[in-house]
Amino acid sequence: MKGLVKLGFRNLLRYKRRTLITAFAVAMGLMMFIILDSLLMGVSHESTINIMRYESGSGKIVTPAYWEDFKSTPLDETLDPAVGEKLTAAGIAWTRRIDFTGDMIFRGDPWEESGSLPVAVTALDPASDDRVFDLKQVVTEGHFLSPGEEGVVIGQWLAEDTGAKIGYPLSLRVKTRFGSEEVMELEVAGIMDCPDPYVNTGVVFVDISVADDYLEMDGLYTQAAVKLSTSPQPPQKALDNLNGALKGTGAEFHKWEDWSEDFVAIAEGKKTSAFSILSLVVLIAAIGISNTVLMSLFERTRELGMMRAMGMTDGDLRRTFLIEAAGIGLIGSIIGMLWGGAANLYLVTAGINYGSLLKDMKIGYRVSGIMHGIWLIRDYFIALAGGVGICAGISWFVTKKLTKMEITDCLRFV
Amino acid sequence: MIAIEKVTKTYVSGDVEVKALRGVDLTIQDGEFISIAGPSGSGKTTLLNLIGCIDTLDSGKILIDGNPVYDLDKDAKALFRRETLGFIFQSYNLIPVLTAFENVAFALNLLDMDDKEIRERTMAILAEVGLQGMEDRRPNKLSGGQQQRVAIARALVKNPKIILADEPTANLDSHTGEDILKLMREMNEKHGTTFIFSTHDRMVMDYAKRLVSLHDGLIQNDETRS
Repeated sequence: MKGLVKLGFRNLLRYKRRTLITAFAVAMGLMMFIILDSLLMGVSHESTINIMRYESGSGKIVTPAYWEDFKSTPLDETLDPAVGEKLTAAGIAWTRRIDFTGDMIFRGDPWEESGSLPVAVTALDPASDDRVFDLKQVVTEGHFLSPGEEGVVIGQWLAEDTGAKIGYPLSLRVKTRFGSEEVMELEVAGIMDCPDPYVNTGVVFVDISVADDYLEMDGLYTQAAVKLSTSPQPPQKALDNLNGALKGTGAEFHKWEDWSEDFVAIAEGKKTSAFSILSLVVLIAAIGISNTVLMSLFERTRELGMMRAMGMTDGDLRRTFLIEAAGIGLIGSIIGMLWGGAANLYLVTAGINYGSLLKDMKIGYRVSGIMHGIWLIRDYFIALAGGVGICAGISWFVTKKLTKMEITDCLRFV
Repeated sequence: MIAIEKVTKTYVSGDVEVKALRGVDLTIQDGEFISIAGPSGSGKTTLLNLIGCIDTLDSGKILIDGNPVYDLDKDAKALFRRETLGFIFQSYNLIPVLTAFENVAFALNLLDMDDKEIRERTMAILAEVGLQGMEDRRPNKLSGGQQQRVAIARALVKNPKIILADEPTANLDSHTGEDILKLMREMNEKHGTTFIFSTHDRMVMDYAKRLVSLHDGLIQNDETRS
């Protein structure tokens, strides 16, 4: 039927205040969706980058036996030295590492308080670490480790918690490759402000040659961290090159995701969160639109009876309401996109400071300090299509009620 | 021609059964200007609704040009009303968000005519009912009489075979009501459209060329006038 769109839009303007209130409700829901998704995706993206820069690189090469038990960081599952040679020959950026655990003991002068706490220790090669990691760049006090230096680099939050300062002596009680206990006597060489809260809170970095002596590693190491690309998904060509280099060594490559199960789990949970937010938007839109359409139905029952008497089919009539509802959805979507865009601009540029909260809560995300949003163009398309689609769809169901009413009852309706 | 044969209709309101029509027989020829008169509750609106295919009968038949319209399904009835019938309501029932022009054109939009023809026919009928220059006014900017003229134009614009008017002057003062009746009669004579209108107003009955009186759901009197 002709003129349906015009009629629908004129009706939209009939109750301007109601139209705006409903549109605002839809806009509010869509804005929430846009900013929360932006924040979750932004945090997720930043976490990925931080894991790659400060924890795992593009991934690490270990022996299959090491991987089976990687959470207990076994020192006896060392890599064949040929692995390193082949990686170098293939032109792959890599560095050797040894992860282990220990107790950090701090007591006596000059410490203000004495105590000990369990820490994760990473022995790194200062000469090649910056080929894969960016730790050197985040040292804010003191200096990064030098080869053979009997020092440690710790995160700012760990330093704050223990009261550590540059030059303070500390001990690391560790177990050697053969299971005997050893105490490493070291001093604080550097403090770094690492954007990765896991590193900033609980990891102690030592020089690999120093660790080698204490742990009785005999020049062997357990991990070879590699950097294939700055992107979380390295190009297939780089992966093929790596796999070619590892052929016959018995070692295997595990991507950064494999080393950060907690983050992967929460990133998966994010999808559920985004779905929950969308469900909330649907609910808000459903209540708002149902209410608006029902009120319109009641107020215009006689008018609708007249239209049906004149020969308008139920389908045409429902399409009129569908256009009205879609119009409200369109207004709501546009407002929601504008509000969402403005709020997101703040999130992208300034962000939200959750630093103190994240310091005490290990929730899987690797973001310290400020959480930033990112621009997700697809969310704006979802908001537009979703807002219009949801409103139109709901009105289609609500107006079914009208078609069940007799025309004569409509005409008599007061 | 409209042939109404032994039509009955009963409404149930709560526990009460109201026999609105108790077996009405009536034949209406093309081009008649006929009034269905009677007091409140006599069944005149019910009869009009049944002829207009907006209500369903309990028994009997209504044939329009030999077609058993009572037997059509919902969408076919809508299509039939769209093409064959025009309606004029007591309270005008114009669409408040549309102008006079758009209200009239609405009937043609239903028929999916092209825009040029819609414009020509709408402007012509509005001029015929005396609303030239008021095409762009919305209903709230028109008097009751003017609104009813728009409703008449809307019913006539598609050249329907039959126009059904339920108490078309009930909401108008006597002077305006008379003007409206004169207009309806003029249109009946000019276009040959069958006008069937219900009323309980004596002045309105006087304008009818044929007066059918209903009482308690039965035809009490059927009188043709000169």
